[in-house]
Amino acid sequence: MTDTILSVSNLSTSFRTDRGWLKAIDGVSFTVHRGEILGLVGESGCGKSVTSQSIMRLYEEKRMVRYEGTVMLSGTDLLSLPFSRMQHIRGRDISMIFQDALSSLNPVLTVGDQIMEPLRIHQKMRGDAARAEALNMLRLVGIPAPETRLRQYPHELSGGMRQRVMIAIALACHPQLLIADEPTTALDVTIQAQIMDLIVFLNRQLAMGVILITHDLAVVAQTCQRVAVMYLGQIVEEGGVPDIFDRPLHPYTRGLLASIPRMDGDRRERLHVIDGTVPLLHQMPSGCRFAPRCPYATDHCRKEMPQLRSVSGGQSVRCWREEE
Amino acid sequence: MQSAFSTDTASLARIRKELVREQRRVNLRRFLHNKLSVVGFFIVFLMLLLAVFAPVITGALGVDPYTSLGREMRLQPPSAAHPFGTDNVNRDVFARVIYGARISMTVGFFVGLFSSLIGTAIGMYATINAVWDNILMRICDGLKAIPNILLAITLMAVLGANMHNVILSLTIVSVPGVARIARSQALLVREQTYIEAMRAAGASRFRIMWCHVLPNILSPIIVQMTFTFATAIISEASLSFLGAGIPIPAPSWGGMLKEARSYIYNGWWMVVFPAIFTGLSVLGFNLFGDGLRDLIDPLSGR
Amino acid sequence: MNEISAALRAEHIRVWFPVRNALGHVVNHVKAVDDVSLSLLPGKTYGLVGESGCGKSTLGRALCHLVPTTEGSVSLMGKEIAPLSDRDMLPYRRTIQMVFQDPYTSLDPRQRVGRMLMEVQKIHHIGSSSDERMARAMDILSQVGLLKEHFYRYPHEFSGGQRQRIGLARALILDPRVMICDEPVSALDVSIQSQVINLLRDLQAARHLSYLFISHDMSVIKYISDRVGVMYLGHLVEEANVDTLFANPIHPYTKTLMSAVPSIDPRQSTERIVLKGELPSPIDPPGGCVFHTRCPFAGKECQVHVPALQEVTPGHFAACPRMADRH
Repeated sequence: MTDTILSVSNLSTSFRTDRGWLKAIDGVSFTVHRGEILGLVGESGCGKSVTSQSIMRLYEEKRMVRYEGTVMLSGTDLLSLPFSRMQHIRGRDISMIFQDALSSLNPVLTVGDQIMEPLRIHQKMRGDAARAEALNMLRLVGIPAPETRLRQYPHELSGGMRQRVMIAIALACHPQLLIADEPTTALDVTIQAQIMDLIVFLNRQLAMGVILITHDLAVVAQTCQRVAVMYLGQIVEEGGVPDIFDRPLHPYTRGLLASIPRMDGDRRERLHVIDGTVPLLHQMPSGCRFAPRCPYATDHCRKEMPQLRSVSGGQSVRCWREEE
Repeated sequence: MQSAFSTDTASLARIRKELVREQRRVNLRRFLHNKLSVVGFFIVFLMLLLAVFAPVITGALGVDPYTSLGREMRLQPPSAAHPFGTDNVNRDVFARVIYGARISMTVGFFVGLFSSLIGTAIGMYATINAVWDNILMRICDGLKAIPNILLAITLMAVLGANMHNVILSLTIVSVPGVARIARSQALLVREQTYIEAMRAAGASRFRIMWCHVLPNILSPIIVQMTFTFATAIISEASLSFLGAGIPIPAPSWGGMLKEARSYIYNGWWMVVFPAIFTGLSVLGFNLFGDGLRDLIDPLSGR
Repeated sequence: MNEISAALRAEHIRVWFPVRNALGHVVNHVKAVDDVSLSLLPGKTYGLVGESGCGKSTLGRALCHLVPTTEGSVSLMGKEIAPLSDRDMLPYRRTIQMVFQDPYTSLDPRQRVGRMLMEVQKIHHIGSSSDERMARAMDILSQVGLLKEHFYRYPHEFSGGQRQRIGLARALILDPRVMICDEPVSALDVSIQSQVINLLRDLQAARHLSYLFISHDMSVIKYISDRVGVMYLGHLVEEANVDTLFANPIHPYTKTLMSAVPSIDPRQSTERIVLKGELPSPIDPPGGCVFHTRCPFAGKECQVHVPALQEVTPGHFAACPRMADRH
């Protein structure tokens, strides 16, 4: 019924370290459909950024890395492509925006140059045509007075404007998939709301798929259709946003939702706490990875790792308690 | 209560010892990981051994850097009795090279030490006093504008050629570099929140500089010290080669090269051995310094 | 408000930083904090909320005597501290302490946790022997939920949440009455954030502490505060008890902030107020009401009339020139 843009199956990424190969993400599978926003949430170190950087294959030039599984983008497996082919994919078929817009933009090039660059590279656009398209993009992302902005440098813009420019650059070639890695974390609430509105608007307007990586569950609640919750390199729960927020099945998802102070919450009640801290990658617990922090953990949980299994209504969860 | 607490401290002290040992193991492993720096370390170690035990080594071989061995021993090629040959005034080159290590290491050590101490003090003081910051840094800029060796020669010409003045002039030449590093590092550290936190806790300005800024800028300064050490060795050799350094007959490597210049065709060993030792020690210190630089922040996790 | 019983009272605080030209002449000022008054009651939390650049952190630092106060008075437990020199401030540092935002840069990487706790005590001549200081340090460590073994560890061996606990221990070991908490949980993960918030509340109850809790997060502010102040461009634009403020915000900026907070309930979406334009420069703030350039309700009078904080209902203050029209 909906067409799939990206389907990641059993993706594992390992890095070479002093202690040997370390698996940063382990067996991650999900799909993104046209016109859909998928939220990828989790705390720092859960592997949500590793997942997106692996899809883009951004690690190979920087460090020793090993991928397993497949990343199918409209019928091609990105992981089996020769590395040099990836540069034709990045920016044209998949684009990415980052948390820190200031350091992601080149300080010595004007906004116009930076939007025109992907157009020149991927669409061989030149001169006036490229300029006109760049203006279009600036208008699309809601930047006032785009003609003047085109000639400005990143440092002349405010944080919110920079993030809009970055989105314009990312979307210049109308990619099928946009990966937004914590796009609003560095921004103030009022600006954050505007940028999230923009991403939702563009997602509908351009009918692209969006992966929204964030630690903020409220942002997911307001913008995403589906959500995958990650913990220690694995997806622990996945499903439609209303279902998961109404009926979280995994104890980790439940804990996360309960530990956020709510605007409508009771101030006298203590906040819910998930005990302990996230273990380091090389101290990975055997069995279920959440077991050491889980209030319901049994011996079975500590011994054997549960699989991600679908339960009902498109919701899947990685927990022994939901097995029966 | 008191006794319960003291057993507590005893067990904690044990934990502390384990932690320190663990930290050392990690550091050692990281240092050994860089093969070149290990090579550098051994060269440095060897040179220091030679310098310290020069009299013992030459004594055992029955040679001496100053005594003439008689006319018939003039410009003899390397042999079992005189492994590095003899020079134009009938002295044993091996003994002179070994004693040369003494001079080079002494100069390098004191120049490294003094310039680090003075440079650090100047650099740190500059960060707490804006007026002196300007004055001191302009002086440093001025000194840095003159090529190092020219400045050193000029100073030597004014001060007179002897070992103390070599150390003094090379220290003056090296201080601006250290001061710049110390200042820039101290400025970075002073911006950190933990400095503000210690101010909020009531720490005095002196305490902040001494207990919090200094330990945090020490690593780059120690690395710089090994490089200063190397530069001082080569500068001392250059000065002595130009006749502005350690006066003859003291066996400095530069001075030996100066004498050997005229005998390059009929006494190659007079040139080759001091040159090898100079090059080797400079290389050793530089490799060692690079290794230290990789270790620069032993506390930054990983 | 009972004026005498305030743990910390700040009146008409201005913090202006000089802007110099190339020759070192002062040509202008960054008006980071401009005429702000507030008071902290013993055992209560005052939440200070606003977006980046509104001056909330500068105000916190000024109250803690870390940046000089240009004008105004700060009285700590009834004693005037604003004009004191750093040296004369020393005895009062025990009474007012600060917790910082970034758990990674707020601890000296070269100093073991224990040594830091000992040093802070030494500065204030707490305890007569090193054994006594050590016992106190261990006691504080356990109070903030750390172990005795952590005494000999370096900061980099801890996670973000644990580091924030160490920062708390450093402040608490002096047994302060007032704590300035500058975004203490903003850098932490959600599950760790709730641990630290609970700890802060427990410590407040146990030690009768007053907090100035600075944050940009409306839901955290709502959860932890008793009284809330909203800052915009160096000015306090609204102040009220927490329930009053959240039930009935008056100032358009407060309303904007609240409408921008995304709800955790996917079915509930708020009608957002979108601000036009961008935050003006604090060097050259707009005349009249500072918010008029972006206010969706601004009228002619807002450009000229400088609004003062007015009591709308008992204990609820707001500074808006059109308040009378709309209320």
